Amino acid sequence: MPDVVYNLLFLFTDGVIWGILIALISLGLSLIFGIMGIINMAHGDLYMIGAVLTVVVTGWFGIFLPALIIVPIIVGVLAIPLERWVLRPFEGKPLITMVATIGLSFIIQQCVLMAFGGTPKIVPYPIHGNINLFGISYPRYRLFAAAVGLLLIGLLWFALHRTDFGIYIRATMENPEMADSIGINTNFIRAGTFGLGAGLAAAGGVLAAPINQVFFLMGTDVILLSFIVVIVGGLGSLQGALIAALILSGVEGLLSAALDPVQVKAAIMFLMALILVFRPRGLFG
Amino acid sequence: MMGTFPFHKKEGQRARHGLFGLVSGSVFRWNPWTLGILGVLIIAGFFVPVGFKSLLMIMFIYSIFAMAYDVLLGYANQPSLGQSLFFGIGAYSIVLPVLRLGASFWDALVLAIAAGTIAAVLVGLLAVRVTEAYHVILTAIIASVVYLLAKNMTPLTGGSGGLPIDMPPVALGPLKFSVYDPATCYFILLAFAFIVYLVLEHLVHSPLGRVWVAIRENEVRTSFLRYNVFYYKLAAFVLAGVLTALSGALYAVRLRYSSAEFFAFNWSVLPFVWGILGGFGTLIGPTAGVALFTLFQFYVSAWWTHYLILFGCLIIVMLRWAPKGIVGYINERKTQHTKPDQERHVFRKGAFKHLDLMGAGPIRSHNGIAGSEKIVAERKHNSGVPGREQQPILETFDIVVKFGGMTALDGVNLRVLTGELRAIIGPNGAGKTTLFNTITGAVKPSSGRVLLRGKNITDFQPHEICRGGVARTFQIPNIFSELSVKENVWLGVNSKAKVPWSPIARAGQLSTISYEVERLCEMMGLIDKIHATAGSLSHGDQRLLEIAVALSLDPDILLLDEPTQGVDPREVENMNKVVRGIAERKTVLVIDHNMATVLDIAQTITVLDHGRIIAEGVPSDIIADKRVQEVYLGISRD
Repeated sequence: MPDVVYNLLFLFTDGVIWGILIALISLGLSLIFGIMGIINMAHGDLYMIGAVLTVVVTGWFGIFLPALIIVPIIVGVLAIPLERWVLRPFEGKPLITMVATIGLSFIIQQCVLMAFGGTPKIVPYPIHGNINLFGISYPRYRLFAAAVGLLLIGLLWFALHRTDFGIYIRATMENPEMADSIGINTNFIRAGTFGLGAGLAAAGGVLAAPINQVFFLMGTDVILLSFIVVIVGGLGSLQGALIAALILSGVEGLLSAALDPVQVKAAIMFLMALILVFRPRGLFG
Repeated sequence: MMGTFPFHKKEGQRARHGLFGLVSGSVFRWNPWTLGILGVLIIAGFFVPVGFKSLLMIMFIYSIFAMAYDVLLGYANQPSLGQSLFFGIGAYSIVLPVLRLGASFWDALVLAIAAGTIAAVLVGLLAVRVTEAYHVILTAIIASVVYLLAKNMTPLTGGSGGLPIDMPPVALGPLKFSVYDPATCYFILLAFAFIVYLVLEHLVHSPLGRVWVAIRENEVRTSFLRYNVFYYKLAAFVLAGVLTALSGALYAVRLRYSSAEFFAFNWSVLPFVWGILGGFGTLIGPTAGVALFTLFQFYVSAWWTHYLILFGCLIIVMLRWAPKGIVGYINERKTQHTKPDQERHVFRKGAFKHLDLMGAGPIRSHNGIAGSEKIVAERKHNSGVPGREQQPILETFDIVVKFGGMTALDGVNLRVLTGELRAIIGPNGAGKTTLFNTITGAVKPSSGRVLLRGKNITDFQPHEICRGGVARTFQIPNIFSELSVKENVWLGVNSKAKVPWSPIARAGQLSTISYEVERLCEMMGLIDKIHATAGSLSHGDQRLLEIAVALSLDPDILLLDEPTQGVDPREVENMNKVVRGIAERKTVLVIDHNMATVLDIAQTITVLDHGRIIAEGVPSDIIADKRVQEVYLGISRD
């Protein structure tokens, strides 16, 4: 196979796999916005906590797998009181929630900095070796991460469309007053959805921990990216977020063959800005 | 007597601004608080130790940034999250010319302001059209692109490390001073900040500033008052961009370097935080927010490295218990004491007691010609004005409107004659309001044409159609509920002015405008409540206010969407009088559900059902029409 094609395929695959993780994180963001009108600027920090806790939990058990199950649950459960006692009064006022969660983001980052220090940590690949995929050699773990990511997205879809809880969530998203008046406990739905969204971000963090460096500011890179994905996909549209994440990171992967990383980022953002200018409600909004 | 009748155009009474349509009234209003703070700051300049002085200087620079953002978000309601772009551009456009071209301080400052203007116009043309959360993200993305590029273009920008600069001495008239001499620099920066404050303080009270507030309160309504909302928002965006560039330039000079980090996201978040701490929409609020933030950052960070934890808590606590910031909190406490008085003032006196001024007397026939002498006199006086000839003023041809799969209007042909009082009736979902929305440009039809005086207006924007003489009211009273009655009406009257966006005049001070505003309020029986907040009025009064706002545009055609809906039954007859009075001078289209009212006031009736006209004619014909009885009155054919 010619080197150019090989390279492009590799970068594209890498991009798409990162896109699946971004999609996972963005879906949480989109859910939280859709249900509560919270523009959650601390979402990237929930992802960061997921990654940091992975370091801790992997340290306890000596293996990676338990972290994948425990960490999202811990973060999800811890997020529920956050929504109930800190963010509830601001819900439905997106701009206010944005500032409040920026405050929250400062608090989380500094607490993590105090507890874990500022030096980036590296989680070794829990699954070693490369796999041969359409003629390209690719790290097994990244494929595993993508598969788990897809599985979680599939579960989320199933939960939203095939379970009672999912119907309640979608009803509350659509019309909270009406949902209230037909006996759905929307307070419970809000808390549950916030926990679910936070759990998704944390799951993204766990899966990304062996791929990226783990440190207290790692969420800031992800938050803007997830926002772009959510907005370009169309606010509140879960399919839109998924498709936008995949397109974005696929194109990003391909572009990185020709440009240096910063230029790639700039080009991607320019593309996103153009999409917003010409489709002001996003691709699927 | 003539003066009480606003429908009557008299050239001498047209709103007209003073010199060249720009200057009028006193330019600045001095506030004792402002003067006091200025005095304290001037005296402080002589006594305060150098360390604290440099802190104050940073505050002056920040407050320009903060006030600029307040105009953008607090007044013009655009939540931009990309102001770092202009801050960085300001910084580089003063540093680069001095460094590379040897430009003087003032030349470079002018360049910085020019660069800020150009950048703000370019970004604004893209970003202003996009609203709400999309605006937030779009501006954030644009700023991030520039940040990434600036970081990458090290030869030009010096990257994150930045470009150091040593500003040569600055000439100010015959004087020469160094920008690094704290004593001089302090006063120069204080002067910059204070001048920006004075200019903005005046600006937000000018007609331009009031229109920003109107857009903030109710953008849709503003566009139906002939204002081209886009340009007003763009003006605020550009102004904010320019001032942000100015503060970026001053900041770079003060810190002796400019870095790609000036484009970083945190510089976009900061003005937001300042505004939240101090209170948006007050100008002085964000400045107080700057002071609080800077002191906090300086003192607490020296004491504890993780001070951001406390800062985060402070933000959340402020949002929870003082969401309008420090200044908003103080204002609220102050008005709490005066509120009972205001309410007494607002207390309803006999509504419609000025209705006689309308000259609406008893009705002679269903043709609804009221017989007051006053009106007769007006009409005689006005006989030269074309108005009663039977010309079509408004026509629609085969209007089809589809929402998704639903057809709201299905080939509607309407022909309204000049001076007609036409009622449009039909069951719920018949397409009545959609028809109004199509005529006024709020909804674009899938096919068909709307003609106004024979001119095709189908593709016109709402404000353009409004300028063509079509005013409307809404099914649910659509007013600026946070503004006073007077301000509501003023917005309409001002939109007719030669320069409705005047940044120099002081809003509401022009005698012709004030006169017209009061006349309209008096006519609608709202004169007693002229200072009350529109939202505090009764439902019936809100409807009257909305009609007053529509009339203030001096339209030829008035579209009233269910003016009696939700109005106290006792007030309905008065509302009908108002409608009849208006119909004396204007072409009126009225949607109403109340059959008795419609038969009473309308000259002609159009009946819509399922998006089609099923009957049209004088009331007696409509009553007799079998299909109308079937569809609308619920009488079965059997």
